[in-house]
Amino acid sequence: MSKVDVIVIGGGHNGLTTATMLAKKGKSVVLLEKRNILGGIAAGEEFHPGYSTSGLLHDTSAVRSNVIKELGLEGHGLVVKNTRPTVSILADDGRSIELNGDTATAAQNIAKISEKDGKAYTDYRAFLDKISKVINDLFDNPPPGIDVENLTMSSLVMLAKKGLALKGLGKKTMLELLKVTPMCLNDFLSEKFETEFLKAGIAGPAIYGTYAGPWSAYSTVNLLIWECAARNTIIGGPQALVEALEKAAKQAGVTIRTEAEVEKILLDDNDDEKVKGVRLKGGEVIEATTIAASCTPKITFLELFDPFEIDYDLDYWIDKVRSRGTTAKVNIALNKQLELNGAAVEFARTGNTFDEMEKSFDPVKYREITTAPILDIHVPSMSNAGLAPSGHSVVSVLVHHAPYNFEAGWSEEEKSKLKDSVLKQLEKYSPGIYDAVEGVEVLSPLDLESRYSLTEGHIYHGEHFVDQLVTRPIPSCAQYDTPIKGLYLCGSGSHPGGGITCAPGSFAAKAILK
Amino acid sequence: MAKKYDAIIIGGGHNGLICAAYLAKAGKDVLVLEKRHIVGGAAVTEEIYPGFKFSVCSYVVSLFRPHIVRELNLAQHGYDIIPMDSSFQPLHNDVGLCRWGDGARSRREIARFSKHDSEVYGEFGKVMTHMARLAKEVIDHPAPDVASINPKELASLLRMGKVFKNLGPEMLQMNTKLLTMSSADFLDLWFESEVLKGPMAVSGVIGTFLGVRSPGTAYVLLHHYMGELDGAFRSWGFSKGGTGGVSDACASAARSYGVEIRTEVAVSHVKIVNGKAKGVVLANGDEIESKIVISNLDPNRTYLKMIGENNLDADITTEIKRFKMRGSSGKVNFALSGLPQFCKGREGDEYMRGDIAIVPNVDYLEKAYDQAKYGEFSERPFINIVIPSLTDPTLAPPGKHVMSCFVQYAPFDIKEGPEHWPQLSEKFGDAVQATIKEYVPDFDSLVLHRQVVTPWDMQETFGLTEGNIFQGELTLEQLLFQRPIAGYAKYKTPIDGLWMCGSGTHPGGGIMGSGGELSAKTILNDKAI
Repeated sequence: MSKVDVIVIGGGHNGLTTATMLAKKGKSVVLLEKRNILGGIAAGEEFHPGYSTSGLLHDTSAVRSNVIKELGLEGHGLVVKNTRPTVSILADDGRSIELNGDTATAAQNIAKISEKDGKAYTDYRAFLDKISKVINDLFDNPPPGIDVENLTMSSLVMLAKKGLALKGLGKKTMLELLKVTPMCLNDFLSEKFETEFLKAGIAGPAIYGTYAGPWSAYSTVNLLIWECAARNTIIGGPQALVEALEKAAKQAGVTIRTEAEVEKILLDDNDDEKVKGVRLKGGEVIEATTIAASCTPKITFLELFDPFEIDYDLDYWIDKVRSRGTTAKVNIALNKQLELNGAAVEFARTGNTFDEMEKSFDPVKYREITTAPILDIHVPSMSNAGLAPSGHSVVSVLVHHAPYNFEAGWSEEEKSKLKDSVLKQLEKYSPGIYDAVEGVEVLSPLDLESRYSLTEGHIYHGEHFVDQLVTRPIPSCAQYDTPIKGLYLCGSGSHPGGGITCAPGSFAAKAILK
Repeated sequence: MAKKYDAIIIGGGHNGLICAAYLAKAGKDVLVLEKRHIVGGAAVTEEIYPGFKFSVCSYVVSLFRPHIVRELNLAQHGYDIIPMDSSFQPLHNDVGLCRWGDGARSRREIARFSKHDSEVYGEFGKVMTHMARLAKEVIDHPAPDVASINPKELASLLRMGKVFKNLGPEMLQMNTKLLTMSSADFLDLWFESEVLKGPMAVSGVIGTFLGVRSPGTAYVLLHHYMGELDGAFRSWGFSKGGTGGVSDACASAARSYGVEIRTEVAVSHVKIVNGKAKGVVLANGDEIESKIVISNLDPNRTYLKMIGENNLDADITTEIKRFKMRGSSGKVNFALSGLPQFCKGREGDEYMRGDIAIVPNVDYLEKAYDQAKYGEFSERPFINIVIPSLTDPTLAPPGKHVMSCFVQYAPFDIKEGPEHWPQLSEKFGDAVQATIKEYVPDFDSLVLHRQVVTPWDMQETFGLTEGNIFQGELTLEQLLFQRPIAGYAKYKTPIDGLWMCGSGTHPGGGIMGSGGELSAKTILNDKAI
């Protein structure tokens, strides 16, 4: 039996961030990863002989600059550009718009299709710039703690001050922000733009990982958050981030153990609301007074404890966290350079029209799958040639919307159908793609659950919706500590949520040190 | 020289009449102008077919503020509500589910579908009622202005904040969820039976262009628990003589205080001189002068027709055009030769005395919405049926009945274009009738007359722009200080001396009377006249 200061469960980007920050402050830290590789959803993997992905997720634009700095990741080989990546918005009719990270260039590109929209895009980004501080404050700070049990005049004053911070935006911008947040993407973007496929492409990131289509109220919140938070480009994608994080962890003295699956969190013999350590599969026990869990909140509380072991309220509310997976992944090995609507691009999004996007979501509600999915495309071999043989490419596709609770069941046959519908979609933008396919890997939401320990296959450890943001995952665990003494949450299930940001990991470390 | 009134109210809906009554009660000289031949707006009773009286549009009363009844002595003027005691949901090959005013009786019915659900049903009602009491706080006061730095406004915000103090963390969490979740998801927190969740979820989407899986619909569920007649929570009812009875009582009360009401007088626009309202110009060109003008019309009509774009700043015009009015429902009213039987296994007609909801499960409802999203009316819509002649025999000849069907979804902006609704009207009626026939096989033989009211008719006949029954969608960004637009939520408009009092103002639609009451009180407080 060994004993350490802190046990970190899960070796994804957030677990690595927490572990390293704590080790740098002199704590003895052991990080336990179930799989044989580190990185979780940010880990690159070979999916076909000679072809590797750069991570399950594509987007690294919201990785927090302060985490990069604090962990000295650039000293460990990370190359970061302070602009947003350029994304190609694809239309079914062969047109596309390069949404450049630089607003002026993007606006010029849009103006080639619609002059009105080019101008509207400049205005749109100006609005985002105005609200960006308010939104990024959310990302760069732990959630505001509102002690509702002891709500006093002073905490009300604090709330009022938060309100006044909003007022700092200027009356017009504040009113506009209040007006648009509850809106659906369709209403919000249709007020601004006229080009259908541009609107759909801009809206894309806001519906990933939600149980929503562009007609769903509040979907604009997710767009504003993402647009404001996304500011960087990491060269080499998620995998590059993982490599730098691992180096930083090792240098800080974190003991990293892979293929170490935590079976149970152990409670103190004399206090059943306090942790004692963990038991690994195989029986090994590691003791610690502090445990930081980067796995999903549902796994943490519902699987790593015995039934009835934790408080009923905690059990009840965690069980009610919504995490219905709607994303599948298709990795394609191509024997040529992929071109989409005539251009080789690293990032691309489809959608075409809001109606089509909404129609792709509709079947999910009835536990069915669309035959015309929305695709988020990443060609990581563009910036990291080592991922595929020379002249070949890796096409990583996040497929929306594919339900976890699929009525027909996720059989090999259904996965093959999904592969076909994705290739059929891609064929629209890249005629002849079928002939260039060397190999395909399809990961259903069920596969995502088993491979990455994502409850219900949800890529963000819980849906991004208003009631599950800020007080994430539930109010009593929203400040990273939990009703169980010594147990902290440090994964995507906590504020500010999923995606590759490293923010929950860094806030949890700070909460632990406090 | 023609008479100059203290106030002219454009539109004789129930809010206009209530506003008029309050002002006249305070000694003001008030004139109400109504375009149609009867007052009441969307709350009217009309004899569409000889001997049968239809509540043509609005058909049940629940949110009407009890203090208005008291303050205006409405009971003396004929305000009489017959409580509805049940909500029945027919099902194929089953006796269906009937929920009663009596909780124990409801739980027994629910237990047939899920024992778990019957156990939590009572608890759910308790939590919702608790939260509804908080919401009441909001609807009984004018909306605080969030953008203002006026200390008075901040104080009223703080007062609202204090309400939350009494909630406790659990209820606060529940409240956040209620405000933001979809009604289907919210009900999933509690219940498992799709049969029960269907009719419960539907109250979250009535009158909106949203589906039960749309976020933000859960809080509308509260309205069901806010229904408050004579101070008794959770009760819905029929107005004696149809919903026109409520309007008639309001009109009678208004007259008793000296209000002058003229029908069949259409207003062309408000007379504006140097940015100030001076009276109205009628459609026939006549002018009537007044110190102030109050519009009971929806925000779209008030701003764009009564004021006119040329009298508005471009910013205001833009904002008012952003105010969403999309109507999503229709009405189909039947005159019947006898009582339809929705259920073979139930005796008597007791189960039909409340409302009958055709909504077999959540998916049915969501699929009905999916069609509407793409510009079609639902082939198998949600139908809320009432047969008020069962409890109020004055509405139909003996042995015969009036049946009123509220139908969702029927989008105003149908894909052929809204002006094509007149050609689609009967097809829409057929879809409704066919849906009912699935439960009442001999229904066709009972039908003496059918009246179809499409969203287009609601616009053209009842003056509801885009057929929106609430004078504007009840979505979060269109409520409170943003109803109808930020800066003008307190019944004021950018035109000096022009006010609003309809459902398009805080706290919104339904036969509540709040818009009329709160606008009148605000006008009197401000000493505008």
